[in-house]
Amino acid sequence: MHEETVAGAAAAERDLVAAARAGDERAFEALVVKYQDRIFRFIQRMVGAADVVEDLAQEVFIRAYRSIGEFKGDSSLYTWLYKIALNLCRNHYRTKGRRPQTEELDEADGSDSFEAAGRTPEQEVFRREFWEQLRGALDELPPEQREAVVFCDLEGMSYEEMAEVMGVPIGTVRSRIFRGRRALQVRLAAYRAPAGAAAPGRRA
Amino acid sequence: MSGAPCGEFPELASSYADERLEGADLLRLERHLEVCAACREFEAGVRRLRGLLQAGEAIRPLRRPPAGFAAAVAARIAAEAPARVAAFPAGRRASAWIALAAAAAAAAVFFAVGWQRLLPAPSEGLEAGRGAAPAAVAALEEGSMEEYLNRHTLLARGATLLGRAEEVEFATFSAAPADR
Repeated sequence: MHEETVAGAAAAERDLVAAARAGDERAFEALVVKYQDRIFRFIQRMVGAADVVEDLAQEVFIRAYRSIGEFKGDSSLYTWLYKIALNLCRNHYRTKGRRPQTEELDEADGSDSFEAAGRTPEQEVFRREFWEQLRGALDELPPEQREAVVFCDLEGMSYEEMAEVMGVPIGTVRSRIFRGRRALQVRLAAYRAPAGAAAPGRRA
Repeated sequence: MSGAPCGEFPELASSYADERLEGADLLRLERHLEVCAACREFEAGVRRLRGLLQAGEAIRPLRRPPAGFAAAVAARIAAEAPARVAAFPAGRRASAWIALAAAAAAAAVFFAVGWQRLLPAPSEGLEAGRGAAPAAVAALEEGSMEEYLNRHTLLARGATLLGRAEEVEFATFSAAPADR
């Protein structure tokens, strides 16, 4: 039952890809709708939550449309799109760097104030501090290690998919993940909660 | 660093935490873990780190594409289409113009009718996030986030973020081999 559904979805995607390759823009549009959430999330994880995310995401799909004739179907469309996205992200942070994002917590889209969310000021301070330390640690990693950790621990990719997207052997994938994790552990192990932020205070 | 006691085992432990170790490597690592507290702690730290990374995204949730995103992509593609048609060889100019006119007409219809059906219904960000990393998304739920931070990271006893101070000693593990 489940397998039939999966097979059906794969066949539907193949049809959409074939139609898009024949120039059917509406078929391609359906593929954009299918993958836009994942590509958008991935770009944010790679370049930070900067205002270039939407431009980069558009560029991923524009490039995919232009080169869909080169997509042979021997890899999945998913990894093929990620390859395009990764290349664009690399170009971006090579030239622009990862933008510091600490200020963006203040303007978190539509999220309630911490009081409304039932948090104490101390908890709020701790969350912010924790988040900033985490971002800082990620930003300091060499790009290929950060990519590997993001793919593995946040995108949930298999080693095979990572090897395909990054264009390296699986042994290199393992090694990058390991070194990225080790560096993050070292960096975050040195972190201590600021004084006063540590008492959670049981919520009644 | 030379002289590190554990050699390749930390890297094997990292793959072990991903459940990607098998055969002889798996046996060797499991034998090593039985006798090496540092590598056991590293492996547990790898699993905690994954949880921390996912918890971090719950504090600052990722944005979803704006409602008009797919339409904007399609509009750019449609804007490029005439250029592609006009690039036909000179001998085919006339048919190119016909194709161009047809494309324009199709685009007009498309804009009038097509996009609305293709756009996804607006949905809450968290719902739409379900996909690539279910554990991360689960951590996005506010309740579990609070529990998570309380359990793992509220450091009332002066513990370090990733557990105990011994983990710092992993800084002394040998440098990983360069990319193969």
